Amino acid sequence: MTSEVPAGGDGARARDLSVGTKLALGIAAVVVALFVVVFLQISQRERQALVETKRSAATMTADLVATTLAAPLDFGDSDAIQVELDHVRQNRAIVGAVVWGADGAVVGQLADATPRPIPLVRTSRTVAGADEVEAVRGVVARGGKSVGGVALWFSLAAENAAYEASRARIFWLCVGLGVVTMALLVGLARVFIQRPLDELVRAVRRVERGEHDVTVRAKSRDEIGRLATAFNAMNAAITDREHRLDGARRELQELFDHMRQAIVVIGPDGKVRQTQSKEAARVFSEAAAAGDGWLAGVRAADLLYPGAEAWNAEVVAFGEWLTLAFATDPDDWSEVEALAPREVTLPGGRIVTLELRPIRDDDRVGRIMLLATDETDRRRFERRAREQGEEHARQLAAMRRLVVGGGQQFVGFLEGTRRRFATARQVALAGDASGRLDAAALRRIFQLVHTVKGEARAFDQGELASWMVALEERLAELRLEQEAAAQSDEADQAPASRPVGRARSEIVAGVDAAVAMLDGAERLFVEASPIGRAALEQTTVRRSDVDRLMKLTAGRDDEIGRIAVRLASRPLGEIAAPLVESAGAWAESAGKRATVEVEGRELLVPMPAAGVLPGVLTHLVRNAIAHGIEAPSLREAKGKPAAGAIRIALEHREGKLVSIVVEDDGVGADGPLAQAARERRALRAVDFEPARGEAAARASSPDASDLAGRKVGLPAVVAELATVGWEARVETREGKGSTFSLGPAPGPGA
Amino acid sequence: MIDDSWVVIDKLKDVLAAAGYQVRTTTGALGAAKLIRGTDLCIVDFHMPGYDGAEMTKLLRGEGHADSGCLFYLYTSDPDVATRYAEHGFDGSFLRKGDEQALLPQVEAVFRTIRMRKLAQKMRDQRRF
Repeated sequence: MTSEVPAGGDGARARDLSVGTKLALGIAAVVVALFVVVFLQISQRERQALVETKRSAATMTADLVATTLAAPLDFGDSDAIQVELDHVRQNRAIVGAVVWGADGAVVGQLADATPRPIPLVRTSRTVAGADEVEAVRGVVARGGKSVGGVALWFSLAAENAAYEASRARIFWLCVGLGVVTMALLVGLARVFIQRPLDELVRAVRRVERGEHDVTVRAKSRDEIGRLATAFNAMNAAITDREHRLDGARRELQELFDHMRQAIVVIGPDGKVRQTQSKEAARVFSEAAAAGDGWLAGVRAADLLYPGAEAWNAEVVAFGEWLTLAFATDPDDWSEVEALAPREVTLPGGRIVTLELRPIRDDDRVGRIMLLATDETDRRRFERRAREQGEEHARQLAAMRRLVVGGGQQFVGFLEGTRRRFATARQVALAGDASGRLDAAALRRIFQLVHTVKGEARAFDQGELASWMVALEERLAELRLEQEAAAQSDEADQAPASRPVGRARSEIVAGVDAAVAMLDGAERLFVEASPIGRAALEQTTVRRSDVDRLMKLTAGRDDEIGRIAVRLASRPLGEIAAPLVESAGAWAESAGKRATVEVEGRELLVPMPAAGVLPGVLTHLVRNAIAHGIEAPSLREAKGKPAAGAIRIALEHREGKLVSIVVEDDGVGADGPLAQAARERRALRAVDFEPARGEAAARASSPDASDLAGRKVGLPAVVAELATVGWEARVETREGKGSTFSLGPAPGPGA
Repeated sequence: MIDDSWVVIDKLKDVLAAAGYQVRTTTGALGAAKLIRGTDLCIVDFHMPGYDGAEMTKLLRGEGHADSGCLFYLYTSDPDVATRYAEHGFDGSFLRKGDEQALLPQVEAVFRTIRMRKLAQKMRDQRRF
């Protein structure tokens, strides 16, 4: 039998005793009580039997004695009475006797015995006491006359002794029977109750430990048997449910593990719960390595931003998002989900996109499921495809330039741009000792940069054009600082807090970077085409030969001189071709439509004008689109075609170039252009110089667009033409357009 | 963005503009005050000649922009300086200066935080918390 005794207890408490012990104690108590009763009853009956026998004997003896004493008492014969008493004395059982007469006086006592008093109650009776039987008789003589009485006392010593002996035997008999009965009953209880219960308890413990193959044999059909049967059925049901649950869990885990996404579940404490997919350990390998492949207990922030500082902006944002997400009503999830991080880059460059979904717990967000997809390979593939596409497009553009005869143009662009960069560098390095650049120097550099920007756009050199835009912005800032410095100098105040002396080195650095880009463009041009290097070299050599020939025949008006001039000239069509291609896109970027027509494509433009014309024409066309041509809706309202028309034409007389005309059908010109037109004079650089303070306004003007930035295009035209001895004039017709005429400037005497 | 190197500014401006942010830049204090108006996030270089980033930020906050809601974030490659951003008067710090691809997710995180705080306040007001 088992019992559970509390440690340190002095004894077993009743509720901690086993059923067997309780049954045994109960059986023992009942058996003991029963056999005590049986013992007492049997004992009592045994004594009663013994006493009754003596009593019967005492009754007979007392009757006899009373009869024999009738005559002596009647005659008063004391001796006869004494003889009778002596005779009675022979009965050893009689331990006392007394005879009295009719007068109630004692007439005889038993000799050698303790004298006895006359009983108070003298009626005939036989009474058994504890140690004696008292028999009292009234003596009646003949004729019915009461002559006295006799009382005899019979000893019960023998009966008592016999009773004691018998009682001991009965006691041990009862004890023996009781023990046997108890043993039998306890044994039966143990066999039929406790053992089956113990077996059931052991079976339950095994089920508790997780064993499944547990059955209890139902040996009977009583309550214990039915309990065993019920246990077996219950265990089978539990086992079946556990198998199905295990199966479902395995299927779910398999589903998780075969999904492309890494899946973890985040609890309200911000840590990963037990659930994770196999992919999660791979994607979040750093965190998994610390936990032997398991992410449970890891902070979600440490998964996504391993090693990041607590104040890292992304860590802070994610922490606040988790707090917000767990406090939000699940029905409002979409609002919160929109603010979740969409993507993280893990150590090693692994790019992971994120999706966060709520797991409801009643009416709140109980947990959050994080689905992370490793996009590294896909992004790498996409980037490679994009780079290949861009490279292909670049090569295609380079080929296109060659195909349409762009080799010459592009080489001209490269040479012209290098020349402009060299000039810009020279101007920048010519600042004063402190490195300051005056307004004129900044303006010149700006014009050069602006020209390169326009030409770069025309030749699809987007990167170089963007760099020129950045350089323009920096020059505008420097102009602003230069104005502020000039004002503070005038007011005799301390110079501006930042010295503008760094301007020179900044501009030189910017120009050098642009030269590197130009070199890259040349390399691409050469590499993109199988004949690129050959065309480049051929063109370069031819151009340098022609330049040399021009120098050698300078001023000669003979046939060789004219041939040299023709060789150095370039067809107008070749110079204007990039503008024809690009004008449509420039107009579209400004929300307009425009086309460029070239008249006299085959006519030759002599050097050195042909060298600067690409930049000049680019400025004029871009300026026409930006400031001349109206928006399509406005044009149509005025009865004009939706697309603006820009005409480039070469006017010649007797075989000699007179001018190159750039004409548009836009709104016409105002400001300094209109003034110059009215005065019928060439445009001058001073026409476009801003008033004090206006430079600052221009620099930060929101109208400073990429197409015609900050009103430097026309000054650049004037400057560029001046370098080859040409000038620009303008005619304007209000509402109908403007015409720029470019041609050799008249001599000093004109 | 306030940084004394226009090369740095130019690179970062392209990356942030491509991501849809409207970016205004300056290399000096003179332009900064004007540009702060209407700005949500000001990224300030720490080591600049004349002013350091902390002095610049203090100046800009003092010029009536303390309540403008603009956040000032320190931009540095020095982890020690970055950790002490609050001492220098900044609202936060961006690390890995020079790596424009690392800056973009940090800037996005700040803007998400701004929107989250507004949403949380709105939910509190509507007693949806």
